[in-house]
Amino acid sequence: MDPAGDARLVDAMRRGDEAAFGQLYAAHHPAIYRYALRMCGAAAADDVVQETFTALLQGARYDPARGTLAAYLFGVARHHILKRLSITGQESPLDVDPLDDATPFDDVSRGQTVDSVRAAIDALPPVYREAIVFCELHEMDYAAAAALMQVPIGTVRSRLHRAKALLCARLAPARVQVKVRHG
Amino acid sequence: MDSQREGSRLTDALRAVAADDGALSASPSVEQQLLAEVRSVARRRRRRAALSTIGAAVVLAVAAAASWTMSRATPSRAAAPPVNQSSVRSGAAMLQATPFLPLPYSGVPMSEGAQLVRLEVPRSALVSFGLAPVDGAPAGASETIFADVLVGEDGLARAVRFVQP
Repeated sequence: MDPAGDARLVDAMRRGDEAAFGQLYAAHHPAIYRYALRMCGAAAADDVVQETFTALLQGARYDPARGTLAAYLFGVARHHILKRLSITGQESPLDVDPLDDATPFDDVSRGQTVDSVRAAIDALPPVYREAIVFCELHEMDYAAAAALMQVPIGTVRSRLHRAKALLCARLAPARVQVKVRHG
Repeated sequence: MDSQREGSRLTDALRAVAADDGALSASPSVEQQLLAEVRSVARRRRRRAALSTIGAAVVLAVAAAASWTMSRATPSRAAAPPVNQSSVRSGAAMLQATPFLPLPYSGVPMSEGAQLVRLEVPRSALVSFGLAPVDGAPAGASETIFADVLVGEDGLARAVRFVQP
């Protein structure tokens, strides 16, 4: 949907049009939910979705000239997520394990990989987790991620690079575990 | 270290996570609560629209009543509707609040649930009810006054009183 079409739907929704709400919610809420889920956990993800769409319904009007509705919603969701993270004090110091030569994915089945990678993402410090979520899980380009994260593109790149290094480091023990189990 | 291979594997693993997460969505209760909010917005809008319609109807009713009264009351201004004498002073016409004056067509019995709607109307509306001097408002008086209109549950205006702003 183009921004102007989205804006029309938003206006209709703000006038109480249920069909417009249904269309917008179906199109945009899964991405917002997955972003919130990765950033602050399942318990808060529902609340973030609700707060984001409530803001769309009652808050400041969406201006299509300033970007896509998806970017607008991510921005609103990010505001709520950061509020939660600051309350729960989830910012943790960077504790990078030294990288070894191991490739952590060699002996891990797909299901195990998904679970262990997901757990490793969840364990990343929020700034790196956000870079992974936007650029890898949501396949956002660097410019869009930079706009949302309110940092230069170079910072997004470096955070992403660091996040991947942290993920590899965190996933290394999984390979060892699996090898021990098999061995 | 084969970092290129490792990077590629990590990318594949992240794509697997993204694909696996693809089916995730918020619990249905979130949608239900938001839908209830949208419905409440629609209700509030309908109520506002109804009140606007009633307001417009009341204004028309007052205007119609005013012109009807003017057409009949000119020779018998002395027999104006009973007005609390303490609230209307002759000459300066420093009106505070009149009693409720029944509107001409308000013979329909008033049901419960009537509402009082306050409107700002031209001072000339007073003249048409025989409540102020014909030669205009006293010096310094506002061009408008308040009209409290008693509106029945059926949306019909039944009576009006005028209040000095």
